[in-house]
Amino acid sequence: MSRFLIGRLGASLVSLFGASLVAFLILRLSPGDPARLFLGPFAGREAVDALRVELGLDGSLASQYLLYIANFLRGDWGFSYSTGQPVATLIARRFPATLELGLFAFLLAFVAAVALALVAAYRRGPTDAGARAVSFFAMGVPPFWFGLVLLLVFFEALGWLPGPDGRLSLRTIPPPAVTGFVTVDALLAGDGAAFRDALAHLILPGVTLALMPFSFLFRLLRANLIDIAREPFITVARSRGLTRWWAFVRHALPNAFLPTLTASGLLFGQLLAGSVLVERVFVWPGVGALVTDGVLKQDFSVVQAFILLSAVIYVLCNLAVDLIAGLIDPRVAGAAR
Amino acid sequence: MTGNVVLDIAGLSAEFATREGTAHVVRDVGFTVRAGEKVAIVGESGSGKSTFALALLGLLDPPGRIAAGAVRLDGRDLVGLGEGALKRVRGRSISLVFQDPMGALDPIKTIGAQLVDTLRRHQPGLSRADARRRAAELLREVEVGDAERRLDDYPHQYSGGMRQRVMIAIAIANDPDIVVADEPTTALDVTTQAQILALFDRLVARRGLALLMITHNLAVVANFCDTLQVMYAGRIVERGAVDAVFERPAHPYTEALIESIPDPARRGARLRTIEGLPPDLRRLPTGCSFEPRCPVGRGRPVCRTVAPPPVPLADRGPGAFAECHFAAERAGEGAA
Repeated sequence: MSRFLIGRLGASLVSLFGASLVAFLILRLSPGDPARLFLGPFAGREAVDALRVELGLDGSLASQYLLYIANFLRGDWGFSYSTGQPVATLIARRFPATLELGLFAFLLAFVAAVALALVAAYRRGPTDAGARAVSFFAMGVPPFWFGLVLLLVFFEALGWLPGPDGRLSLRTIPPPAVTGFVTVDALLAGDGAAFRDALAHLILPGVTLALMPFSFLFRLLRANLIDIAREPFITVARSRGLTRWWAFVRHALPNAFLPTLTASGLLFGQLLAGSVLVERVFVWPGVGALVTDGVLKQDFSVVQAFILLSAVIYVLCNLAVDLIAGLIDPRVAGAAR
Repeated sequence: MTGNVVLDIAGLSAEFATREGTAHVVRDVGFTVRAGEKVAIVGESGSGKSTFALALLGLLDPPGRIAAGAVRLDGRDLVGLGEGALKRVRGRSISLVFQDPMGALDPIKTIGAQLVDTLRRHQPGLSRADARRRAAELLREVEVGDAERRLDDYPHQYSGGMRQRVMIAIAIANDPDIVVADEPTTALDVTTQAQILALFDRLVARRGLALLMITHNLAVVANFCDTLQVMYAGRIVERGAVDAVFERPAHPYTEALIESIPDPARRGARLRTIEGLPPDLRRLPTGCSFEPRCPVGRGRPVCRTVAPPPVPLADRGPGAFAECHFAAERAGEGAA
C-alpha cells in the first residue's frame, strides 16, 4: 500500500508540474508586457523597467518559472491588473462560494445517480427506460438555458424558491464567516432562518450544475451494475442466503462503483472549473464571475492563478479518488506493486 | 450408509421465454436424494444441467422460470416461495458450489468477510468473534493451511483450487442437508480435481450430507458417486447405480457418453464422438429426443413418433430406469 501511495503521489506531482508549466507559459508567451499592462500606457520607460526587475521578468525563462512557483506556493499569486488587488485575496474571497455550490451540486448528482442507477439496474423494464430518459435529457440540455427555465418556473411562476440574488436574500443577515460556506456558518451560528435561506438559494443552481455529472455518473454506474449483476458471485451471494436486492446492494454496487469513483474525481474537478456559466445565471458570487471578467479585461494573472488552482484541485481530487479506490479494491493497490 | 430423503424433486420443468418461442430447458425431472448419498447428473453442454441447479434453489431469473413441479427440501416445497422465505433456506438447508472459482467470490471482500457473513446470516446470535473462529475452523476443515491468517486475504490471493475449497467451506458453513455442486472441478487441473473430489468424499462421510454433483465429466462420476443420472435435452434419460450403468448402459446416449471418454487402451485410435447436436429445445421432436443422433434408433418409426416411457430397471439400484424403447433388451436379462 505504501508503494502504491508513493506512486500515486509521484504521478500527481508530475501532473502538477505539467499544469504549472502550461499556466506559466500561457502568460509569458502571450503578447504584451505584464509590467506595461500593470502600469498602463502613460508610465515612463524607467518605471516599467524597474517593475520588470522587481517582478523578476528580466531573468531567464527557467528562473522566471522557479520564481513563479515559489511565489505561488507562498500564496503570492500576483496582482490583478484591473483592480490592483492581490489575486490571492480576490480568489480567497470568492472561492468558498464556488466550492459550496460545487460540493452541493456534486452531492445531489452523486446521490441521485447512485439511487437511480441502483433501481434502474435492479428492476430494468419500464423503470430503467424512464431513468435512462431522464439521464438522456440531463445530458443534452444546456445548463445555462435550463437554469433560466428553473428560475422562470420555481421563482417567477411558482415563487417557491428564491431568485438569482446570490447566496442569501438581501434581508437575511449573513452569519459570521467561519468556514466560508454560508450553510455551515449559519448552522454554527445556530441561525435556522439563515440556514434555510442559504439552502433555498443553493437548490436551483445546484440542480442546474448537477445535471451533467448526474447524467454521466448514472449511465456509467447503471452499465457497470448490469454487467456485474451477471457475475457468478452475485448468484453465489444469493445462494448463501441474501435476497436479490441485498446481493445487488452489498456485492454488485461496491464492485460496480470503482469506475464511478474514478470518474467522480474528474467530474468534481470539472464541476468547479466549469461552473462559470451557471454562476452567471444565478448571480452567484463565486470565482466564475472573477474569471470571466479576467478574460474579458485581459487580467491574465487572475486567469493564470485560476488555471493553476483548477489544476491543483483536479489533481487532488484524482489523488483522493485513487487512494479511496485502493482502499476499496485490494487489486488496485496490488497492481501497482 | 444412506439415511432419510432430503431432497424430493417431482415433475420439475423449467423454461425460458425467447423470441422464437418457449425453450423447454428442464422437462419433467423427478428423483430423490437421501442423506449421505452422492448423486450425479451428467450431460453435455446445453443439456439443462445448470438451469436445473439454479431452479432447485429458486435462483432462476426471468426470462427463465419454473413451469411446473415441486422441489421438496426436508418435506417443504420450495417452488413458489418468495425471496424472503427462500433466503432462509439458501445457504442453510441447501447450498451451491459453482463451477468457476474465479468468479464465484466477491473480489473486493476478504475470504473471512464472506465466510462470516454466510455464518451470521443464518445464525444471528453468533458474535463476530465467534463467527470468525468458526470461519477459521471451516477453512481448516476444507484443508486450507494457515487458516487464521488467510481469512484476511482476498480471493485474488488464492489459487483456483484454494478458491474452490473456500467455496466449499461457504457451502457447508451452516451445516446444510444437501450441497448442489455445479461442475465443481471443471475449471481445475487434474491433480486439483482429484483433491477436491477427495475432500467432498470426506465431507459427505463425516457430516452425512447429501451431494448432488452436476457435471459433464463422466470420469469424475465413475469413481465418486453412488447414483448416476444422465440428462439429455432437459430430461433424465437414464438413472441407476454407477457401476451398473457403466457396465451395461441401457440408453444409447449413455453408452455414447461412456465411449467418448478417452481410453488409454485405445491409444492412437480416433476419439469417439456423438454426431450431431442436441435438439432445439423450442422445437422438440415428437418421438425420442435422441433419435436423430441415435446409433440404435435413428430412422426407426417407433423412435421417431413415440416418446419412450421410462423403463424400470429394478436390479440396478433404487429408482433405476432408462427412457429408451430398447432399454430392457439392452440392459440384459435381469431387467425383463
